[in-house]
Amino acid sequence: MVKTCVICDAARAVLKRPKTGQQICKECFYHVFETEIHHTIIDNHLFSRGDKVAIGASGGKDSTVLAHVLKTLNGRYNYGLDLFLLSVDEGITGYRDDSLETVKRNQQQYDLPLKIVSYEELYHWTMDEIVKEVGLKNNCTFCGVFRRQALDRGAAMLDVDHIVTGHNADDIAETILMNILRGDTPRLQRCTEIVTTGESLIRRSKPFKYTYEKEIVMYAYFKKLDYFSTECTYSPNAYRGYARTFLKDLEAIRPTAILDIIQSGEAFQIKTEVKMPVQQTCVRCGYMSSNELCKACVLLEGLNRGLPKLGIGKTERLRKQHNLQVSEKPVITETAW
Amino acid sequence: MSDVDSGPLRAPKPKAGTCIKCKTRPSTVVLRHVQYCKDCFLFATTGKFRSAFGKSAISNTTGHKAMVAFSGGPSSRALLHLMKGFQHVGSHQSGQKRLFDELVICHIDETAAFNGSSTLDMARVVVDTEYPDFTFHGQLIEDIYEDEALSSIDKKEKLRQLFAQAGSLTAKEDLLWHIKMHLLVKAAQKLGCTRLILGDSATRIAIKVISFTAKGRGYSLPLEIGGDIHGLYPNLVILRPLKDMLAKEIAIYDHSQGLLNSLVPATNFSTMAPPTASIDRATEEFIVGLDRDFPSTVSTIVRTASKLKLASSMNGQSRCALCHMPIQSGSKDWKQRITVQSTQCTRDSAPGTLTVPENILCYACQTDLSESEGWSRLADDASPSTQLEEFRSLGYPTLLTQDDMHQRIKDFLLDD
Repeated sequence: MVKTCVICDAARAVLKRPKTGQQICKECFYHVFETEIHHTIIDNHLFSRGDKVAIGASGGKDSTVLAHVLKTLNGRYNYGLDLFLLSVDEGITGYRDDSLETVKRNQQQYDLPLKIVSYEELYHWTMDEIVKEVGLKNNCTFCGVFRRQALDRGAAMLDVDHIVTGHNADDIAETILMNILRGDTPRLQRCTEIVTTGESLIRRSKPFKYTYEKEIVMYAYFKKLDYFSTECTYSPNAYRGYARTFLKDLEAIRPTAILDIIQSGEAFQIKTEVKMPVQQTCVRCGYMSSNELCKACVLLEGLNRGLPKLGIGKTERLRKQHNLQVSEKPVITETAW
Repeated sequence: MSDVDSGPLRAPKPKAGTCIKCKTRPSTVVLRHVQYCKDCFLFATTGKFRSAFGKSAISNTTGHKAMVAFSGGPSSRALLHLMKGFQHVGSHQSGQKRLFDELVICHIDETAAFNGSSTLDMARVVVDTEYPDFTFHGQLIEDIYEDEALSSIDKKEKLRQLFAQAGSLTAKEDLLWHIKMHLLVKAAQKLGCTRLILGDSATRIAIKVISFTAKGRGYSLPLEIGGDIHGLYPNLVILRPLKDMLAKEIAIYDHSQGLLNSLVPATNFSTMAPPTASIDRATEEFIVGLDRDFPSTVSTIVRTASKLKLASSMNGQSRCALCHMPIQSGSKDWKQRITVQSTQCTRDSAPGTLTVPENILCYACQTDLSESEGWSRLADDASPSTQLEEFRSLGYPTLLTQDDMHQRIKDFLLDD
């Protein structure tokens, strides 16, 4: 039996929408998917007319769909944005080199200017070299810390006002759970913010904050978007894996659970007695930091001095030993959030 | 490895297998990597229980009648026993005050919701034989319907219908909890109790923190798990003195005190259900499993939750008709903007979409209700009092009265 779309009541339903369970047609899916992102952009005042916006592009599904949707919405609703693609080359053979090829094709397809910054040019270390030095256990710490800063530096080179990233609702919900499990209250408070601003005054935002990962994949599939789907060759964070599996279980039990977790996360308010890190500027590179020396500089120092453990886990003692001034415990431990 | 504090005056490290407290007796209990002998374990547990009352701001207990919720499970069984020790004053402690003036033990027989055999008598026997100083109060879950015209069988049937149309297992479990909480609060108020003591362990609280987060209850979370909650119900303070004890600690306590033979067997919706059956079941499985691999999981979650405060937007006026928690305004609109269900770009949703009145229900209860068969009867544009009437007619119990609703909207009503 042919089912008709419950929204337009005309076309044939071809998909069951993961977020609502509604059986709908392709066109209505595009409409609701894009409109929700438009609402997110408008309701949160993400952009101003004339903004120069860099899309953090990895070649993966999230950023590929983000580039496509932002370009579409910018035209449809006349946001008046100047869009760029900004990629980070971490120097991971067999992963990033291939995905960057996808980004280069996206550049042609969407006709957007592309800037690539590499770890090699910024830090004189590629991820392949870092992994050789530190092994596969803490390499994600380096990558996360360096990527966040690299994006900011690339944005400064492009002279843009704003970076958008493809973090989706699943990522946000998972991070909320992770921060509860780890007891990281400062991050629990911050991780639901849709816009953040660092010292560099470049705004960062997540237009996919309420967009389900499954729907991003669906959108890319039906629109036949060209994206790169291989996982990073270096192992992912194991503890995060627990949270991810649990989130998928919750989603299977009740599809709204992802949004419901974000609803909870946004409602959380942390007691003021809890010590929140004070933001300052790194004395070495001038990047925003919660210590005198930013995490990237500490990690880099460790690499350059042949002490890769510097800056991993409890760093106070090591920092003291090696004469790196610290005023309080560093906040960044595992990821760049 | 030589540490700075390893001087000659340092006490010798206790041998493996010796209690860390008394350092003499062999250890029989391992908790959080620390070994205790039975006596020291009991001493520590009792001490922790006492200090839970000592810590609370409103710990003055004299002049107060308290109700202890006793399901008969391991936690509330331990709670009962600890309360007995707590109320007892030995002859040499005559200066010490008795804690509560009177203790009422309330057991809710919830078997009507599951067709099980009654647990009321078992619970009564435990209390009457072992704790004769306490008053037993038994409560049938079907008595949530106070209509005297209804027979006991009618009430049971009405309850079963309510659960049958309540939607998913998640929604059913939530509903059961709300009904039990209603009954406890009502019974406490009727019997003049000013304290309601619940047996939530640290493990249970950690599970609640995660499952409530997953169900969109973040706004009211601090009120639902706190160890010392006042202002939620008139003249009634909710206490959770077991909130720092792990489920394992409680199980060892029950075992060492010989309480395991007098547990009341519990049946509920998720008995024998797979972990994927409901949000509560999945969360329990997740937390218990994670705590096995990372033993500080439970205490970290509990500590995280203790750092949450009540939202600044919270006011005492708008309460959810089902769970009695404060309603966060704007949450329905929030959801509609990011869950577009029609092609008309208006803020109003198309007919037949999933909306439930925000006037009388909180975000999480709206979600539960949207799964039920009766939600469509709760007209979105009706007045709050009409909505409340409809809500009641579906068989849902509520602590809100028409007077409460009138109070809430009176500023908007014009005089006749």
